[in-house]
Amino acid sequence: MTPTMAGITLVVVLCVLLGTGMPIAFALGLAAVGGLFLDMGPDIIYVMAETMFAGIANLAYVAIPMFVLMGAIVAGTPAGGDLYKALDRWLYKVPGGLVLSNIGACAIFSGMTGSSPATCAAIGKMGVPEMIDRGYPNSVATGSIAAGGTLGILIPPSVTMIVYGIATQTSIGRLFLAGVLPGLMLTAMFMTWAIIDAKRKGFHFGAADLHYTLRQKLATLPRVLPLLIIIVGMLFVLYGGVATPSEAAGAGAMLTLVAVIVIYRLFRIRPFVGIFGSAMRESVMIMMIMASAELFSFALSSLYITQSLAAAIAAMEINRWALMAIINVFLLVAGMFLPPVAVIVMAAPLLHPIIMQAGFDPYWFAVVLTINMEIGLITPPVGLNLFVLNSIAPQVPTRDILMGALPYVLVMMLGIVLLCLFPGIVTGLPDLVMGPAIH
Amino acid sequence: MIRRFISVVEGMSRACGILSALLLTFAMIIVCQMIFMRYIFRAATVWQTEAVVFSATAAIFLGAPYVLLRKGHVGVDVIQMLLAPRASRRMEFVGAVLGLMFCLVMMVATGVHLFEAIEGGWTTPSVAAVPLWMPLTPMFLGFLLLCLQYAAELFKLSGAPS
Repeated sequence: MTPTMAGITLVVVLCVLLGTGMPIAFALGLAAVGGLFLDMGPDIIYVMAETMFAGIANLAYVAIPMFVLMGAIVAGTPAGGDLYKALDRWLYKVPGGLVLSNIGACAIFSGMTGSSPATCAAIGKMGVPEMIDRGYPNSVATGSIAAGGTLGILIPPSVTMIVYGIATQTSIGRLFLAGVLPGLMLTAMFMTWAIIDAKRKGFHFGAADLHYTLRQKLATLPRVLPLLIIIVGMLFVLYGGVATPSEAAGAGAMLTLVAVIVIYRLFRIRPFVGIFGSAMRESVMIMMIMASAELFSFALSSLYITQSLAAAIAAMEINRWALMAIINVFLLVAGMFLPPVAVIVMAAPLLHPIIMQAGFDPYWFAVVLTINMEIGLITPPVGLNLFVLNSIAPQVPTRDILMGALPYVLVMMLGIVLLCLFPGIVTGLPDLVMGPAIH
Repeated sequence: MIRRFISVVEGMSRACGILSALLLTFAMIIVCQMIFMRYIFRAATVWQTEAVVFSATAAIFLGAPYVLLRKGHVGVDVIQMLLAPRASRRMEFVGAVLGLMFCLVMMVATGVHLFEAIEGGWTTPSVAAVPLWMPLTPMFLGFLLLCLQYAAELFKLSGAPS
């Protein structure tokens, strides 16, 4: 079988397996087993366990469950509610203010966790009911949180950046820095859209009845500031060369745990059972997908599919921006069907040499890739954030959530265009802090 | 008999779920200890790196059966949602059989790898030279329990009392 035929067969088999609704991790693994069997026969039994184990047994990957745990600690304790309240009190007078505070809360929460569904769940649990109570349409309430939640994988720390860094052997610290300005840019763009939408539809949302004094506003800060200090401290140790991303993540999780225990006097074990349980479930889900994606990637490489595809793309004598457009379409489609980590484990090693050869900056590409993955998180059929919102607000029809999230998809596409026009938005901060990248 | 099998398997999956959460907590504590040793006491860290990596990896494989029990492994269930309840249940059954197939293959592959590691006295290439059977055993147990959990799910889907 030619590599092209093998590739098409493998993708079709994967789509059929995914269509049955079986877990994505096991569908990827089973398709890989089939592909490897074609190539190696029964001998695959000797390589599968090692490949899958090596796929996740890496110190840098320990950062993923640690950042997820950090997010779960904030989301599962009153800290999440206080963060939300603080932003609401400061932003309630702005038209569509609650949407803005939700997006802002998502952006800040993204600095505490590397996961989008965790961000979406943490802010959504408080934000969606509050917005619906204040008269915001269902689509506006859920759509803004779905989109705001996607910032979790762009604003550092970021699970996808960690995976990209390991897959392409680029600096994770630099990747985190590369995500800061584009993350803030997208936050500002989401907020701008929310204001435009609010004004366009003439929303008032009862905010006129509310009034918070300066004292009430300041009262929220003592509980929120320690968490913000932890974020800043984590970034400081990361870029001060004091700690690796895994160490910063572990220390960040521990400090957050200590902070919430002290601030909220949570001296009982019970509240933490659920927190550690939810962090474990999300970490297992993400890492099992990564381990299986590693196996699938190994199958693609063993069947020479990766190499043939890379050679075919390299042979296409087209403008590098046309190439980037093709890659973006590919990533968008892949991101709609597979979770971000799976796409990155499989696509990053393949695309990295191609984009380098075409003269693109790998850190800039990581950010573009991540925004593509963010779009996949709020579009069907595997929009993880849509699932999260469905479970938070089961009374809101999925159609409303989709319609609410759709404008933000267009905003993110506009964001990608802006990054293409002004790549300095990505590379400026890492260059300033760490000096120019050596490729 | 089947009911007992389902309850025993679910009990084991829950126990492994608790163990998985404890292993992640252990990894977090050791990471912090590692930072203290290296940056504050300027001491070498020999065993910590592997202890952190292997406990986090063990947590993932041992936690997988519990996540399956809680339906926490994400899947593309759009087609299932569009089907009538009876057809959707059949599709779920097919998905579970396919999932079981993968876990069975992986259980055998991990078992072979574990056996080779024990027979060959394989160790990690680091100074600590950790015997490889240690990190591989949780992977094997994880896939073994995933197979059992899938069998329990299939019994439940086929209408067996749970």
